[in-house]
Amino acid sequence: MNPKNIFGAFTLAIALFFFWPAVYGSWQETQAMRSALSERQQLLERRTIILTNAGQEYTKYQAAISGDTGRNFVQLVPVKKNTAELVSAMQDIAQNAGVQLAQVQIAEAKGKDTDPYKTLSLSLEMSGSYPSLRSFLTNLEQYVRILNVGSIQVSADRTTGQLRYSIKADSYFLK
Amino acid sequence: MPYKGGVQLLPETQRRPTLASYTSGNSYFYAAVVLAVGFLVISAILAGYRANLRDKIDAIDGQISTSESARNKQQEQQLIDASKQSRIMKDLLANKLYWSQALARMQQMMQSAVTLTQMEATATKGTISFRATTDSYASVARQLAAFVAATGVNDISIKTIKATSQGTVEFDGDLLIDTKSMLTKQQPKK
Repeated sequence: MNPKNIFGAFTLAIALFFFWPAVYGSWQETQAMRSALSERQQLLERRTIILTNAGQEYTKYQAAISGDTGRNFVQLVPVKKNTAELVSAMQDIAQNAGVQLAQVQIAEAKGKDTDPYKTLSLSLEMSGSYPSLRSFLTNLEQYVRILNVGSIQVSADRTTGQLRYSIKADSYFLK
Repeated sequence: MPYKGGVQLLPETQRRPTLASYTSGNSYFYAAVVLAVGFLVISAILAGYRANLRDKIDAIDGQISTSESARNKQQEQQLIDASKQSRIMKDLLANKLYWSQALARMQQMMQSAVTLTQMEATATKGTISFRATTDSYASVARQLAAFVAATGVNDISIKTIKATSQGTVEFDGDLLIDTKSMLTKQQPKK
């Protein structure tokens, strides 16, 4: 074979061997950057839309909770335990119903992991008349925070002639 | 005799081939050069394009970073909490228990001659255990009949009925209640 042709073919092979990977790699890098740019553009667009919507929703939410109904909505299942507020409410409800509150125990119950809320268990020891128990329960059911009475124990105190109640109830707050 | 140029029929001196002798008129070589130059040009164009893309990416990264720092996470948390509250409330309100309603129903069932002395109501078991006193066995029978006839009472079990030294009759038992009708508020049908 002609040495000239061998030289030419060798040079062509060298050109292909060194430059083709360089150009192809460069092309791939460019493509990767294009797709990175496109992703970022979409991300920015989505973020802008989400943040705009969040701002609008927050304005609506603020308007909605500014009224009495809105305030009640927030307190039905509060974000925090608000134990102090709960104790104070129990005292008020008992006082309004004419019940003597002897003991209040509040503990965080171990609920299910799947529950989207946490449970506060209340244990109340009280004394009073039967109508006052009814009144207490009615007020408890109408209390703005959701309270579910799980059990009621009533027994007559022969010495005082009054009834003794033991009520267990659950209240909830967000996880 | 040393070579002095010109044609030699039988060369005595070996001529070393020059690079030019290989490249001139070599189409493969020219193709290689064109290819190499083409690759270099393409690489330069791509490098410029990538620099442009890089600038754009940096600009968008800057915008994303600005929007991130402009976020009000407290507001967002309030919205997340409101969403959770809304979801939870539906279930909790649907299952809210109204013992005042159950006690009112029980009051309606009670006979005037019967006095409850002890009561234990449990929502999870759906039972109301009671101890009561009355004047006679006939009153006990009437009370049991009233429990059976009442709506919301699924079953009744009496544990003991005994006469006391004071001339009264004491009895105790368990009412198995329908928690849905006794403890939850019935929504009016639309």
